[in-house]
Amino acid sequence: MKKLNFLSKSKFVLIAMLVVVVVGATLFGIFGFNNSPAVGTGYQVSIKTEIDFPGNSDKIKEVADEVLSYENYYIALDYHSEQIFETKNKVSAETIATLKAKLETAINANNANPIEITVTQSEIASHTEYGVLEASLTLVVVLAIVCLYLMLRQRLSSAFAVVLSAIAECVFFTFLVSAVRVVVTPYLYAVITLSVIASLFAFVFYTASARKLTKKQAGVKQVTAREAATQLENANVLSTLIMAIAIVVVGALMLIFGSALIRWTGVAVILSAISIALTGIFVLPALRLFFAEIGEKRKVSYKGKEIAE
Amino acid sequence: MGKKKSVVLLTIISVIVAVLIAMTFVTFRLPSNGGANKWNSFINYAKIYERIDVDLVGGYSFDLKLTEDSDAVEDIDDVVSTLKTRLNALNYSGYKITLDRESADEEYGIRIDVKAKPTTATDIEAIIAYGEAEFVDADNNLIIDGDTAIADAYFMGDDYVYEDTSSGDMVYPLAIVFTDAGYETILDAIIAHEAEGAESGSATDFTLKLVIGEDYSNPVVNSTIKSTDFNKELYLQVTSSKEDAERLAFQMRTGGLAYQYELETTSEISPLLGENAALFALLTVLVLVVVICVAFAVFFKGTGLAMIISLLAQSGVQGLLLYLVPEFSVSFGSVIGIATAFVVSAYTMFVFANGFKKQYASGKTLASAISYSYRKGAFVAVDAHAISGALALGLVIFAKGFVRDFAIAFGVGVILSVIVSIALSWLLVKVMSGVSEENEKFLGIKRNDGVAVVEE
Repeated sequence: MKKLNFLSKSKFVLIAMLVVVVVGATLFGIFGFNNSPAVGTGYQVSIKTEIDFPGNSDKIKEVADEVLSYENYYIALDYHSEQIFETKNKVSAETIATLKAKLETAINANNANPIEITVTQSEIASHTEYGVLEASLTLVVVLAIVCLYLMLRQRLSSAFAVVLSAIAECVFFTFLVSAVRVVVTPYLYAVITLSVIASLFAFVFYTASARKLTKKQAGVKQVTAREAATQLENANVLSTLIMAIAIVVVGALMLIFGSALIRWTGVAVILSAISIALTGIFVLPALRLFFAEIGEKRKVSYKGKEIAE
Repeated sequence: MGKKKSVVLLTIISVIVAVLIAMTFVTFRLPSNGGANKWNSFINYAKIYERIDVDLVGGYSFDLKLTEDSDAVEDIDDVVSTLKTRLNALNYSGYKITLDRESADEEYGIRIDVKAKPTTATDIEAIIAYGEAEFVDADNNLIIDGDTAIADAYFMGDDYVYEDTSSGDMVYPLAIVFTDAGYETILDAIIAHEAEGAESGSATDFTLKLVIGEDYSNPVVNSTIKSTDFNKELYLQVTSSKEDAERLAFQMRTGGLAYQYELETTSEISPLLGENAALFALLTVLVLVVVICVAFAVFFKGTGLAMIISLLAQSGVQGLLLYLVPEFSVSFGSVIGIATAFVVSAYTMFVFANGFKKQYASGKTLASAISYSYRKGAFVAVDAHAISGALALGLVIFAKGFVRDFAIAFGVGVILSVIVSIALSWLLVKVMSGVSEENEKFLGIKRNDGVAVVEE
């Protein structure tokens, strides 16, 4: 395979990632996340029929699908004659009137005595439990544990590179979600956790391979950190891309087959794949090389000092 | 491993895995002695559907409305916070609370969507119970509020239930455990009262009352007490019912709602994630399992088959282990957790299978290639499982809701993965080499060109 030399492009990608983080953080500071009605505020359109005839439920869904844009709502409550549709934006009075008229036509078409249909709109604020603060603190604690563990198992340079890259991945992904204004669902925090786990795996695999190459072994030529980074580049890009593509496939499945909330979560999953790929290919190798070369310089100066003495 | 021994082992393991999977899904009946015992599939027998959360299979929706007698709500977030605390305390992890109102000058209505459990209706009654607990003296002066004073409150259990001989009523004892601050504040109030009495020469016992929702005319506790008798636990007698005793204990433990809400309507609802959400989640996991299994079969052939059997065993046993976790809910979060644990396992097995292939190619004998790849790969396996385990444990302790569901499913999967991906897969790779009589083609391995066999 041709050497791709991604390492030399790291600076540019890091600057681009930083721009995304700044834009995302600014938007987050001003507007917060683009929350779905399931985790933030929005509106609900409630449709009730006076009598619960079989088939009313399907007719309500069909008409709602036609009048309210499918991209903008999801069914929050489905109870035969009563359906509640939650939307991000306020539905205009004209649309509500059209909805009611079309519902009356669809439901009362074959009824000798028309049944009454009520369509009301109200503002909502949703609250679900996912413990954002607790989950974030846990991630910090776990990353500290991983850092300590890697210091013992591998080298200091690997530990710092892995943990800083994982933090970079987490921060970049979070602000990427904010920057592109993806609709946030209650599962965003599970996706963030998942992306940190996936990236930690990929990163530890990379540093373990680098360690194998740079470790002093009998009969095996020891390579420098830069040589190791160059040698590992193609394999790292390949394995990171395989992981990212697998995540994209899962996200795409959610996007194609899921309901609105799953679709929005699917978009976040695809963004996490982009974040993992960029961090795994550009940030991690650069950071590992940076820390490893500091270690090598120290070793050289220490040995030089020893010889001089 | 010899062929005969390998075939026997492989048969036993395959039968166990097949029976586990069959028992999970297939409904069957066993002959019984005259009775009509129907043995369901594991899923039905264990009532797994009761564990599935409202986001995947739907549940109940409760509409609450502020009563006309209630004060105007000053802080709706405080109400939501109390409802959340109470829902969490009753182990509802995947719930949704929606506030709605038609215009800004109206009070919010509250809709609570939760999973369907046999106790859901009574749980919701307890959750919306009105009134904070307060400890007051004989003149109804506040000594300390319940939130600060009460560390725990619980129904003492069926063993302590007795019949009051004078009234004939059943008594359901309930215990209140005070916090240090609660104990000291009440004790100080008793001592001050006693000192005052001693000074004035008209000593009376101190009256301690516990009232709920400022209902001073009907205190829950109204007893006289001496400082020498007062300790950190207080026992109450509830005479109405066991459910009332449990509800009261729950209300004291978690604090009551500051406003009075009434239940307007109860509806059965479809999944919060949309119709067929459970089927979608199941299919996602199945697709993942199939893709991983096909990848193993294509890239590693017979060796991959060993990994596939190990992965199938993991999926069967993981369901069983999750069932044993008390109050575990299957939400979309836990489905992601199960899938992630599965990927951890597959990742570890990939490292072993790849190592085995490489070691064999470099000239090692088959037995030595297996042993070497597992010895070397064990470090990677320990890394992956240690990181995953730490993350899962941290999240189980600190996280809530869907993230906690994710962490529990993931954590159980990681524990299982240690056994399956390291021990079971090792055994099965050895079995596969025995069954095939070390057939390179079957095992998907071959020597590099010109490499001589290295005997160790």
